[in-house]
Amino acid sequence: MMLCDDCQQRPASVQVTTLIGQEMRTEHLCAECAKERGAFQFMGNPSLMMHNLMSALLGLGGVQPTVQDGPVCSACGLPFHHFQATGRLGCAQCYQEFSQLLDPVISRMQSGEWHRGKLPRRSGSRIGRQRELQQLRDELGQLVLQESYEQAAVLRDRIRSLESEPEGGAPA
Amino acid sequence: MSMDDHAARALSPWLEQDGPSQDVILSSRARLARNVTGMHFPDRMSEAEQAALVERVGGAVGKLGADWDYFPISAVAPVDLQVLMEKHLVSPQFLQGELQRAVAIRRDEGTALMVNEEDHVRIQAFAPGLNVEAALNTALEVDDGLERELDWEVDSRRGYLTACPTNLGTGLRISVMAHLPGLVLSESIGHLLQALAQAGVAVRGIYGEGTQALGELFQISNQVTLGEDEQALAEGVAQVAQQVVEQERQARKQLAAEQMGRIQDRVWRAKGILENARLLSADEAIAQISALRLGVEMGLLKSPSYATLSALQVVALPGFLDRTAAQDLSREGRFQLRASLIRERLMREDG
Repeated sequence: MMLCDDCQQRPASVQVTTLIGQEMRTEHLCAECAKERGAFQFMGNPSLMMHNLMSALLGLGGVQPTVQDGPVCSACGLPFHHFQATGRLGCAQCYQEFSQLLDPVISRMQSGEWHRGKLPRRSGSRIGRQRELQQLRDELGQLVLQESYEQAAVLRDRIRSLESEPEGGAPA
Repeated sequence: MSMDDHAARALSPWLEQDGPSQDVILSSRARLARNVTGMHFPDRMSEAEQAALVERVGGAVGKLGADWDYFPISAVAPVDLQVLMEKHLVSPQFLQGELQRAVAIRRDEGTALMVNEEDHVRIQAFAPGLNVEAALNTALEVDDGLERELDWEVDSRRGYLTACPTNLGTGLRISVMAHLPGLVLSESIGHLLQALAQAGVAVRGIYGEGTQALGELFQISNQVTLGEDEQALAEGVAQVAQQVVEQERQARKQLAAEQMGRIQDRVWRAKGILENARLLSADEAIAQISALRLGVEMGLLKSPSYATLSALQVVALPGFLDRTAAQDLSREGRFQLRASLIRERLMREDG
C-alpha cells in the first residue's frame, strides 16, 4: 500500500500532478492532505459547477493552458480564451463564430441540439418554421441513409409544401 | 412603491400564504435568461450600451402594469440591495462589478427582474411550497409582456441565446428550496445528494455546501436548458422534488418512532433559545430557526406560522439588521439586534 507523500501515515488515494515551469511533478496524497493543499475544489454553486463542467468538457480550464492565439469573434472582439476563463460569451454572434469549438460542448452538456420550447411571438412564427424545416431536412437525410425511400418521399413533399408557403402570416 | 418599502419588510407578501408540501418545500422559483438583439452581452457592453439598455428595459417594465416598480441601482443604497439579495430578489452576482444595472419588482415581490446581470434580462418568479408550474407561468407571463416591447436574441436551432451556454435554449432554471432536517439527522442525505446528481439535477446548500449545509436548506434545480420545452423541464424538477418530499417525510416518521426524545429536545431547546437569547450569531440563528421549523413541520408546535419562519430567516441576516439599525453595526450590535428582532417576531405571534 502506498502511503501519503505528505503525512506518511494514511494511505494515498489521490494522485496530484503539478506543472512547475516545464517540470511535471506527481505526488500521491491521502484525501485529507490533498484537501488541505487545496488540491480539491469542492463545488457547490450551480453556475460554478456548470462552469467547471463546461471547462472540463472543453478540455480546458484549470491546469491546461488556454489558447492565447485562438479565434476571436469578429462581431464583438471577444477572444475565445476569454470565454474559457469566464464561461461567458460576448455577443450572440459568438455562437456562430466559435461554433466548431462550442457545438460539441453544447451537445454534451445539454439534452438535445434543438430548442423545443417557447419562441417570441413576434419573430417566433418565422423562426418556428425555419426550425421545423431544418428538423425535417435532418430527418429526411436520416431516412435516405437508411434507404427508407417511401417515407423519405412523404417528408420531401411536406418540406416542399412548407417552403412554398408565403413568409409572414404571423399573428399580430 | 419605493425601494424603502421593499427593503424594510422582512417577509415578501407572496410568502404570506402556504403552498403544496409546505412541510418540506419552502418555495419554488423559475428564472428566464433573455438578451436583446443588436447589443453585446453584458460582459462586452460599452457604458453607453449599458445605459441604453437600462433605459429600454425601464420603458418595457413601465408597460407591465402599475404594480411594477423600476429601480436603476445607481439610485439604490448598497444596504438596500443587500436586503434584496437576502430576500432572493436579486442574485449575489448582481451586487458585484461596475456595470450599470437595474432591478424591477412587482409589489407582492412574487416576481422581479434584473437588468445587466450575466444576461441583459433575468426574470424571476416565485411561488410558495412545491408549485413550479405557478412560478413558471408567472415568469412566462412577464416574458410575454416584455417581448411586446423588446426583441429577444433567438436562434431557430439553439433557442434563446445566453451569455453562458449552460443557459441556452429555454434560458430556464427551475428550482425549489427544500428543508431536509430528517434526512440530515438520519444521515441519509449523502446518498440522496448522490442519487440526485445522477438524476440530472443540481443540488446545493442555501447556507454552506454539501452535507454540512447550515439550516438543512437545499436548492434543487435543473441542469439542462436546451432540448426540452419549459413544461417538461419544470415537470422534471417537480418529480424529483416530490420524491425528495416523500423521502424526507419518511425519514421524519422514522425519527419520530425511534428518537422522539431527541427530536423534542431539539425543537423545544430551539424555541427556548430563540424566545430568550439576548445575543445570537447568524449561524446559531439559522440553525435554531431550522429546528423550530422542524417542530412546526412535524406538528410538535402549533406556532409560529410558516410565514413567520420565512420572515425570521431574513431577519437573521446582516443586511437586514444594518438596514433596520440605519447604520453598519458592530458584531456585538448585530448579535443583539438579531436576538431582539427574533424575540419580538415570535412574541407578536404568540400574543
